[in-house]
Amino acid sequence: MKGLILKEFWLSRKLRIIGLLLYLLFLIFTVLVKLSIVYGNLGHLDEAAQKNVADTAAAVMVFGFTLMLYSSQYSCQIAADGKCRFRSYSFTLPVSERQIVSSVYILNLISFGAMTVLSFVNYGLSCLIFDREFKPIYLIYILAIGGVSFVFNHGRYVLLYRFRNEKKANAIFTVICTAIYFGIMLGFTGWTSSYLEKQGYSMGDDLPDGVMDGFWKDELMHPVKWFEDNGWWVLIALIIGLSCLFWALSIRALKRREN
Amino acid sequence: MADYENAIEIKGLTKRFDGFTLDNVSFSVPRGSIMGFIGQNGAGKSTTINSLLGIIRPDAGELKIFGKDTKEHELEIKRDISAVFDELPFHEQLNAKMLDKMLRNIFSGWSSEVFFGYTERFQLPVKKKFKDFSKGMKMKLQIAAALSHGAKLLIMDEATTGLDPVVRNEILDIFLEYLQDEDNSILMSSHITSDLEKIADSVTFIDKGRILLSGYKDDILATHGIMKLSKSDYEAVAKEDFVSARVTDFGAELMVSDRAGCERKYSGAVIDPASLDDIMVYYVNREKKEWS
Repeated sequence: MKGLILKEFWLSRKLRIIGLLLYLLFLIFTVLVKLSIVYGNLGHLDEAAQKNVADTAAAVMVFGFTLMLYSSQYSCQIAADGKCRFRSYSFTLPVSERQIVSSVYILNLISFGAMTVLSFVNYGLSCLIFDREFKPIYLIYILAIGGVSFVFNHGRYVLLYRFRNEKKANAIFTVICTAIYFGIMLGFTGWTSSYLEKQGYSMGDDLPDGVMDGFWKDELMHPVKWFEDNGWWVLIALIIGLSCLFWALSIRALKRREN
Repeated sequence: MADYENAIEIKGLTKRFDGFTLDNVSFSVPRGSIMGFIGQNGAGKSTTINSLLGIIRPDAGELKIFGKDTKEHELEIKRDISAVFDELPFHEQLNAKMLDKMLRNIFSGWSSEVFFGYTERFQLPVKKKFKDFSKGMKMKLQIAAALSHGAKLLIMDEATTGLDPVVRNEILDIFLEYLQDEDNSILMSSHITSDLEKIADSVTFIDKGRILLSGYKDDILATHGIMKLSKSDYEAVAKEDFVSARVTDFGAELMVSDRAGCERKYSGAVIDPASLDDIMVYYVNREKKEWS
């Protein structure tokens, strides 16, 4: 299996390096933003505007960079294996389907670990650069981002193993993601309208100032608080559970032979 | 000394596709021998080989390698076999050094010394990416990889197709060297019958998913012949005495499968030796019986 892990690593090396270089580039850009706030043009803005810029840059650095780091480090050579007939060749090697799929998962778990450490460091750097308080719950947020991107990527792998056709697998994956997106959007809209109804308004009304602030504070922050206090482990359990499910489904899909 | 008689035993192999059926294929490859597996494109050679290697799952049949069922002893068998395909099955971004590291960690019997011995012998650059290799280099690389883990059986699917005669000869010599060990065996599918005529001990001929002939090459070549007749003499030949006939304005050429019998029955008729190529062509046209 080590041989298969090495193969996966070599083939995805270029993309991983590009991901890390992009991270360094964005990091430099973020430092320049901070320098501009302190010494440059952004320093001419009023205090509230400066705070907005700093908040946005810090949020992008913590969440955006983290997402980019994780996403660029997961290896996916399944389609390439099919194109160059390595998949057929791998069936002639003394390795089982479980080992073939596990080699991908092991490499991606190693990447997950490495990127988690780097993202933690990145969060620490953001605290230093933007002079923020270090909040441990952010480490859980980072893990959640990594976990969710891990699950989404490996969900796509099941489709790639199942259909052995990159275009078809990606099309189905896009449909599933779109359905999830619209599901979340519709749920959110329903949630907002039920909140407004409780407040005596309906969707489309001209809302007085402060009504939506109440929604953020009373409704939206409630589950966030619940997540911070009790729910983070549920998310982690869900991510681990889904990853195991996708691993098992990938093995099953690979055991199915094409005609 | 191995305790099995046949390196490969296939009994009743059946696989149905839309528009093609591999129908009840049976043959065996004796240990220490090289079998040529011939047939035109789409005859079922690759389907048979892919079933044997576990790349596709057959609908029915019994497949044994080294006397062991291929399904029950899959991983154990795969340690001792090597597959060579008509196209390089490795990613083009890799090079020979990487391939060595990869396969060293997959095959317990892998020898880097043997592998790099072959790359040197074949003059293959070890740091050059496979995408820059020529067709001949790619094939030599596959063969180097196939022979570097002490495999007892080589299964090759159209491995020499598309190669120039010099490279093909070089590769055939390697196979003959490989067969110096009496435990080693080769199943080699090809539609270039001249290669098989040079090195094969036995031949299996498949057409439209069915085995038409299987046996020792020398026996097949000895029993088959091309009987050359004038048109009028051809009319007098019984249909069951020949496989098919190529009829032209100048006369007829008949493929006979019982050369000695025909020589006795049609005394005076000229019966020339047939090549595997001839046998293949005449058998492919057996249903038409008469063709031009």
